Amino acid sequence: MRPLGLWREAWRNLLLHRSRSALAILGIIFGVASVICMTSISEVARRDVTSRIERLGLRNVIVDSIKPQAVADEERRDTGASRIARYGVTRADLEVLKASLPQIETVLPIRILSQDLYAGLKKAEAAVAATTPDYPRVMEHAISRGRFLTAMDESRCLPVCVLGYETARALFPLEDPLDRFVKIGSLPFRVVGILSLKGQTGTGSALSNPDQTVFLPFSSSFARFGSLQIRVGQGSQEATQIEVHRTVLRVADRALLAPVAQATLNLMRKRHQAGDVEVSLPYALLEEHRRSERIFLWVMGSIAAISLLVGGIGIMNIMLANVAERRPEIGLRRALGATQGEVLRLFLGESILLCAVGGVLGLGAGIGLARAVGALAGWTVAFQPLTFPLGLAVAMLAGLLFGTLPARRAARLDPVLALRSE
Amino acid sequence: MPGLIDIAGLRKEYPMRGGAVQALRGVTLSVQAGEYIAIVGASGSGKSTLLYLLGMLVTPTAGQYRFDGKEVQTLSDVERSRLRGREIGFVFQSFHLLPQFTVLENVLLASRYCPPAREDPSRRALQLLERVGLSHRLEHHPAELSNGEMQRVAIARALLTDPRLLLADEPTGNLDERTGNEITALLEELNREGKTVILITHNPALAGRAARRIAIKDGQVAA
Repeated sequence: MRPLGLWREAWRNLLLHRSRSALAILGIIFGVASVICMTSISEVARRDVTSRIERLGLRNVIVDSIKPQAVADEERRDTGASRIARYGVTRADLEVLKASLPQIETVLPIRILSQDLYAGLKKAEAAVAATTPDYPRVMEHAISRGRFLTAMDESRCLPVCVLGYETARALFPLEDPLDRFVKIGSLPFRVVGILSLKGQTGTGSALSNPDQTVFLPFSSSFARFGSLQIRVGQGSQEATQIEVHRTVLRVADRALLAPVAQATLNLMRKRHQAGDVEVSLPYALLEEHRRSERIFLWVMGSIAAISLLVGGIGIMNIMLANVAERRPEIGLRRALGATQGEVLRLFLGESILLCAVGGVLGLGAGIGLARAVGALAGWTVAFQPLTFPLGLAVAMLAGLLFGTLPARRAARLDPVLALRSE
Repeated sequence: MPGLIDIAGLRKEYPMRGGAVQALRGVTLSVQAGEYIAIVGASGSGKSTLLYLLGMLVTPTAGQYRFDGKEVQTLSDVERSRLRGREIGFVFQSFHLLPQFTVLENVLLASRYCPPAREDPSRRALQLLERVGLSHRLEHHPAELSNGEMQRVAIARALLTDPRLLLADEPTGNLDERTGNEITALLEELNREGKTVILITHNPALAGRAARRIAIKDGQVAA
């Protein structure tokens, strides 16, 4: 049998007061666990937001039609009279954009129709969107089966449509949807293709979930449904005329994004003084998101630092109690030839070991807690691999930091007083 | 002839709030290798300070201390600690065994800082425990031992590094008469084998068995 090494001896010393040691590391366990839990859950949110923004296309400028203040005010007054609200981007605007900004590679219009979608008697919860053949390329959305809308569909205003992945499954759970007919409003459309699963893009609008959307030719939407969309209310009819809900401008080069966005904004301001058009950049959104993410990281880092500080103070407290209680042992070790440095290292080793154990348990607790929260809230939890070694290292650093004072006190004890303090 | 220990004019002051307390007021002493010395004196006379000063656990305020020809005051903490670990074994009144370790581990603790030069520490620890009659108690913890057994473990621990000097602070103070006599006999036996033994005692019988008595009074050697 060899004499025990520093770490084994430290371990045995800690086991001597199991419950005290266990209580001492609670703070570290909670600190590390909360860090792991928070980072893993925020990691999910981060990946989600980032991918939603990225799916909007980082080489795109987005021009949305928004309800101007005047229209909103009139709606609020609700006179009961029938009226037509006209606002937003028009087909004429698209031509002007194409003509005046040659840096724009593609102009992709999307129009939302307030129509219902049926297959037989089955109604689908889906948005009805009219667009041009450029959609899959500009929005980076692949076809799963069949084909997307073509130039011929567009030029001839054909009654064909392409289903989003989830809509296809909802309407035709057991059959092949291709070449079958669906009804949009009261008109039949033949299904020519199905898009692949994409996931949410952006937030909030009818355009945010392409998987629950049916796409028909842009020209067909006007030829078959007209340019007015009429909503019948109690004793009144409300007609809206929005020609294009969203226009996606694909720019050839990412460096041109900002200038094109600025030029588009200027042009639109000139043509739409009512303030019914909004220009946004997914790329800028991503940048902004990253900025807020950095702030979030700082906040989280501060919370982690505070919880580890509290945990560390707990460790210091217990180690001071250990030093006070083990004064005769310190005196004995000095009598057996231990230097001040060796006594310091022994107690420092104990506090580092204590925090390392707390760190490991905290990692386990954090993973468990994050999984439990994920399961309860229905989130998938993603762990950043770097947080594990980092969490452990920070816990051990806390041990080193907060163990120094007690260890120094132990090393500087007068050995004779220590031997007699029983 | 220079001895194992030569001290001259050794003083020790403890600074206190009401003024310094003089524990030793100029002690001069020479100890030859192989001597068996009892230090006696009333409580607070300074005999413990002298013992721990000889054990290099207390630094003198003034005076000279040579151990085996080395000037102890000029040594660094590391050098002094190593010299102490190698050359001096301590036996205490309250044994000072560590409760978290077994008997064998307690003895081996002495080799943690100064491993014996020639021998394997575990083999030597086993031999020493056999010698003090505790080879059947190796895996027991101190709480399971009697006071006499604990003191024998402590003596085995003090001998692990094969030191030349044994310092014993009231080694029989916590023992009944019979066990005390056994421990005294063991110390005498070690002295006959060549160890220098210096002990503090209040027990006149134990002091009487020492070859040399040093009485301390008011921090000075009385006779």
